[in-house]
Amino acid sequence: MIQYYCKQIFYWLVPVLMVTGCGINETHYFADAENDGIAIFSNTGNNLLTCYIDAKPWRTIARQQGILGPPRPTYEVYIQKRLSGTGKDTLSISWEGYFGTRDTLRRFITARLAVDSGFSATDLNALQGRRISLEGSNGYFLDSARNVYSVLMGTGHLYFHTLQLESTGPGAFSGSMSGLMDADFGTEKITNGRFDHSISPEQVQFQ
Amino acid sequence: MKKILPLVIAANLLFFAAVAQVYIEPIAGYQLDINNKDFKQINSAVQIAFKKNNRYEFILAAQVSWPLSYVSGDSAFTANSSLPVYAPAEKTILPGSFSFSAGHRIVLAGRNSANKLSLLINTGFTAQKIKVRYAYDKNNYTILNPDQTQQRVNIYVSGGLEYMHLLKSGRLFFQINIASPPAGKQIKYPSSFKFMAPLNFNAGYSIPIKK
Repeated sequence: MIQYYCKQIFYWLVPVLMVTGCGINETHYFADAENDGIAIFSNTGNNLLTCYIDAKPWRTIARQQGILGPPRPTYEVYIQKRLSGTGKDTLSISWEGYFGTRDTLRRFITARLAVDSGFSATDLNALQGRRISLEGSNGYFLDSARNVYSVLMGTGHLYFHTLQLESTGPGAFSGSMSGLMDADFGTEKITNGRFDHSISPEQVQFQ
Repeated sequence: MKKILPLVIAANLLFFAAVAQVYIEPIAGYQLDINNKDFKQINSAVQIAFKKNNRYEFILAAQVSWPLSYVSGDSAFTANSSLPVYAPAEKTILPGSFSFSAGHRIVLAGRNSANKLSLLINTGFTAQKIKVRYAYDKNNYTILNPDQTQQRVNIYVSGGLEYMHLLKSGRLFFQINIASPPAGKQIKYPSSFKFMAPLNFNAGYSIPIKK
């Protein structure tokens, strides 16, 4: 009798999960005891960037992985390179997040760096342990609200504590990235930025 | 439970009625930690021993373990290009605890001599607080993988051996005890330490207070 009910539950549950999906949260948030509202600086793959934007805590969306069908995985950060057709291409590291608990009001913080046209994903490894100042000529920061045509452009700094990508197949790379950042958009400032991500092949998109 | 409770109370009253001698026992000692080799404490405790016969004593104990600070180095970083990328940070950990327990002193050898070897078994509540403090330039730098203060109150068990020597006016004893950490799941934080499993070396003196 119990076996019958277990089978029935299983047969109903599978199609339900196939339609609705079942996600695992792969973001681990450990509150910083010394900075209210943001997470600690870590390099253990917590899949998170937190910072203050004009002194208000901001964090990236949770990384969700579907285990049966939809929803599609969601990632909090993407590393992309776009061809410009000139001698320099654009490398973008783009984080999607929100203020406090207002998950509906999302925005993107993006760091854009000018790189040589032959720059590959594994060339990123040379940035590990380095600080980069984005001051306009070599790159800049963008702050853009989702679905709203307002983009702020600013300067800032990035420190990559870890940045290791390895090839896992043709055009596929995975690894880890952690570090610190700050930015100044003139009308607003990003301070105390810290990020820590494991990077999967879907997050590295190089043209 | 309601039926059992009067029986338990009656059994305890019978036990205390049968007590031959009561001792008060101040204790002092030194404590290491099996789970974190760098954590050390100074112990102070007081316990009351209810001697039933020359084979068994019931003990109520309260113990405070005073932390000895453990200082180590950690790493802090900054994105600000006008400062050095790395700065050292000093981390101080103060691991302290308090416990209240009920226990048993079971004489294994030397029941009728001046030198006794006993087995100690205790159960009770323990409160552990592992305090973490950092000293670094907090305005410009960020600590990588910082530790945070952790605390827990829960039940624990301990066991050990005791050598006791009878004197004219009291009893001198030396104990070695090992205790479990407070019960519960692992710390929900990426700490570099665990809750303590103390190994203590104590000396105490039994002062008879009632016959």
